[in-house]
Amino acid sequence: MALPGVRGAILVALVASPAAAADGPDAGFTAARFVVTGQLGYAYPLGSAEQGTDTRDVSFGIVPLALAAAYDLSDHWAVRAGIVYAPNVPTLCADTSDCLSSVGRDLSIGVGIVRALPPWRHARPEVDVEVGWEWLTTELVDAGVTSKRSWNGPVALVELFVDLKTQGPWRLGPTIGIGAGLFSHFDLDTPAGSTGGATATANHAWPALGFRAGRRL
Amino acid sequence: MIVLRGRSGLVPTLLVAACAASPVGQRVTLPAAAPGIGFDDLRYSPSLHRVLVPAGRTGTLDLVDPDTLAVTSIPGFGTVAGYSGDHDDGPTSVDEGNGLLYVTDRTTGKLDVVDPGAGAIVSSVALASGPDYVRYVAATNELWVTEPSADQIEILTLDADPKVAPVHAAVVAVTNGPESLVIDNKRGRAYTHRWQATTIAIDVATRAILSEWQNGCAASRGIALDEGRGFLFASCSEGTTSVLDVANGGKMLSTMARGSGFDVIGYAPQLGHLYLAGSACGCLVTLGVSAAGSLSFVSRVNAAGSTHCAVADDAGHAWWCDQDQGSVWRVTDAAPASQ
Repeated sequence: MALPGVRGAILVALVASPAAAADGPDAGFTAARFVVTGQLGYAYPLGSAEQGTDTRDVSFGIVPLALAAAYDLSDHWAVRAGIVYAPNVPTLCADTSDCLSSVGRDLSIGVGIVRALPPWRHARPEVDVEVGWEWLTTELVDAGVTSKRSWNGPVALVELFVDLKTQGPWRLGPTIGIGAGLFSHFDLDTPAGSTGGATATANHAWPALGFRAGRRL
Repeated sequence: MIVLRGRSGLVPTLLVAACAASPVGQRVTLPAAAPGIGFDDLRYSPSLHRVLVPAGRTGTLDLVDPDTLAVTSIPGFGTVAGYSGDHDDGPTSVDEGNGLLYVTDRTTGKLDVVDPGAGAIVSSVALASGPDYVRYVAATNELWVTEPSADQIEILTLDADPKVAPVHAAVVAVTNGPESLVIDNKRGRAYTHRWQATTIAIDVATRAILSEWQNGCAASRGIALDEGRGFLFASCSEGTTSVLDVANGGKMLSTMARGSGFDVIGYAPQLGHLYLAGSACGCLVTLGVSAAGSLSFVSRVNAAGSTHCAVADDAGHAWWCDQDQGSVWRVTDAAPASQ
């Protein structure tokens, strides 16, 4: 389910580009071509980590903390690379101590393109499309004994960012997006030992809302 | 609610995945189901051809015909008006032996002997501590009752007349336990978990702990046994299930993680299928067990988020409990046997 949808979103962004290029003002393209951003949000688990296990079985959601850098190629196009670290909210744990110990993580790295869309009133929207790799680790700690379930595989991200601060070097605004991928490998670490291997095909997604702050350097 | 639009298959698939949570199976609503029933142990009696459902706060033991889904209730156990959402009230565990049913009651703190033919309690005995599971030990004509709040298994002997109230005989100390209990009549052992990481084997004749085996669990929960093949199954709250070889020092033969939130598990030896009902996943997972003891994923269907217990009958059905609705659900297992 994931990859056809991502391809569709990429096509939407590319098809939209001529019109956007024709209409777009040159407001954002300055001599400073680097933009660094930080982002905080929440992403909800959908789909399956592997055959027989949904991501929501082991996650109430993740809280992505993202850092990224983009380089403007033109008024409307940029390349972007980023890393996302997201604590995972566990579904099982008995008390506060165990719950804090059971917080897992979702880590992803990606590279992609940024396409500036036509400004709307005082907002300057843009679409990011990235591909990368994702590692999800969930844990249950019970009275100090730990069991971990991990998966990793390719992921793609489509995200809309609306810059509400169009003047000056700073960029601030909300994001809405979806990361989708499939895990190709799993690891199971129990108190009795570890195992791992290839997973049966299953797709998952993280629809997400967030807030991004950036600065042009 | 976020509404996503798109022409690709991604968005509809995601919306379907988010919304498709209807439980699967045929629902059997038990008497006095509202506002909910705290179930724990479920059993199946081949001789009675009934699924045995201790119905918690309602104060009844419900017997469900797996073919017609008709329910027969045996009253007389402890009752509680309110539903706590947990399973701490009334009758919560049952086992069969000598043609009778033995039921533990968390409200009265008693073990009750039930004549299923008469549909009535025929004798009772007070237990030493709050009961969890009761199991009949044929080799010694005893009842073993786990009492985790006292870290022990209480042993009661049965009279030659099985309708006479059982008598307290001994306790077996199980520190950091016992959780779940299964009797291996073929080898004269009982198996139970500690709350984390290990399972112990106890000699039912000497009542001595023989061995302690790694079970792969951070949070040990369900237990089941394939007595013929010597496979002991340990399920963990976190979703891991392991197969231990009881004839070879508890060697771990296979481990698999699917779903999560498991507690009481069911096993159908004729199919080699293990049934795991999970609260965190809101699902019933079926795993297959090969002749070599390897686990394989068979299926997953939606269940209620208030489930945590499952059992198998001998007619190709898995059953799972639905606490919030005061119901049990029958699911037909059409998958081929995993032998």
